[in-house]
Order: sequence, then C-alpha cells, then structure tokens
Amino acid sequence: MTLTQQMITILMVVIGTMMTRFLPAVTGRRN
Amino acid sequence: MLKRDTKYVRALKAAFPHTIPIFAGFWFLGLTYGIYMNVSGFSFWYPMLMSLTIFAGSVEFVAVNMLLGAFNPIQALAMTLMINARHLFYGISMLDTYKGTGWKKFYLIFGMCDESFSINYTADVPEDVDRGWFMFFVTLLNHFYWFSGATLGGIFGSLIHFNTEGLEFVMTAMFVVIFMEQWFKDNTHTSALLGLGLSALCLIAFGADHFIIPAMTAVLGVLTLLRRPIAKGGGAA
Repeated sequence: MTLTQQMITILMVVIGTMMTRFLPAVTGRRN
Repeated sequence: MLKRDTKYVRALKAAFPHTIPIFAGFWFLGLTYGIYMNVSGFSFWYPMLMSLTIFAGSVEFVAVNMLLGAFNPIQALAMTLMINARHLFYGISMLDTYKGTGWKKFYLIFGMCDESFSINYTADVPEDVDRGWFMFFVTLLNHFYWFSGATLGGIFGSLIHFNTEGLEFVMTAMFVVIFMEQWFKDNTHTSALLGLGLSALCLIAFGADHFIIPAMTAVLGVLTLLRRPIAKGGGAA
C-alpha cells in the first residue's frame, strides 16, 4: 500500500469515528 | 484574568483524580499500541497521528491490519462505523449533558471515548467547579494519556529487544477485558449473550475469514431492534 493509500485509509477511519460521535449531536439539534 | 485562571485550575484539579485509573490503563495500552505499530513496520508518527485524530483504541488496533492489507477504503469506513457504533448511543445519552458548554462541546464530542463518557456521565462535579471545564479536562487528560503512550511506544518500540512475537494478541485480550467488564456491570446478560450467539452463528455460516462484518451487522441490527426491552431489563450495555 502506498503512503497516499495509507493516508486515505486513516482518513476513512477518522471519518467513520467522527460520524458515530457527531451524528447524535447533529440530528439531535434538528429534532 | 486571575478569576478565569482559578476556574480552569479548579476544574483541572477536580477532573484529574477521576482520570488516574484511566491513565494506568490508557498509558499501558497506548504504549502497547505504539510498539505494535512499530514492530508492524510503521514509523512513530503513524501511532502519533492516529492516536491524536482517531482516539478510539479498538478501531486503531484494527486499523493496523487495514494498513497492512489490501487498499479498501470503503471496508475501512464500514468496519469503523460498526466497531464504533456504540458511540451513537453515548452521543444520544450526552446530548443534554453537553448542552451549554459552548465551543468546548465540539472537543467533548470529538474526544468521547468509552472512559471519558463513563466519567462525564456519572461524576459528581463539585458545586464550585464549572461542569463544562470539568468534562473538557477529563476528555483532554484521557486524550493526552492515550496520545503520549502511543507516541512513546512508537518511538521506543524499536529499542525493545525482547521477543515481540504474539504482541498483537493484546487486541484480543483488550476485547476480552472490555467484554468481561460489561458482563460484571450488567444485571442481565442479554446483550452479551446475543453478541456471542450471533457471532457464533455467523462464524459457522460464513467461515473464519468472512464472518466479522455480517456478525457486527447482525449484532448492531438485533441490539437496535431490542434496545428498549433490553434497557428495561437493566442490561443495556
């Protein structure tokens, strides 16, 4: 795996983690 | 200025004792994670970057295998969503608690790991301490413990000359400990038994190489459907 591919993989993990953490706050505000 | 400083110091002093047990666990596990990344062939800045930006222990260990395997960003995203799905429930529980904390709310949500959640959700904050700053320091200290442990492990991992074969088993051990903690904490063991049963069924149906994603989907789906009856029975974790 190249460095770029590794960084994309890490970015995907960051995005996935932040989605699970921020989703309740984002949807909760609308409700 | 003095008054503001006092407010921060008071919150930090109140938060720190709550995080001491976490320090012991996070630092050791963080070191192990850093060493594991080092012996897997990664430079120290990988665990440094990942512990700083991801800050979710279990998924960081899994990410090592993702980085060593074939490039598959969608699978990386899906695995992360499934492993960290429990954060959705933490987030829902903390909606009211984090209300009114201003800009700190962003960091409180960003750094909400299992341990920070359990301290911030249950701690009795003294009346003269600002609750927002207390929770901020709990989160910041826990984040720092994990980050410093992982970075030091990454830097000094190469200096370790003992046989590190089998070190990756720490991940399995960590999941077993988390499972046992939940088992002892719950009055009923419905959710734990459902997890075991569904995983075993998927293992039989899909085989050892392909059972994780269907098992996690099944566990997530069934627990979401049965969330209310399980919570009523006192076995919500």
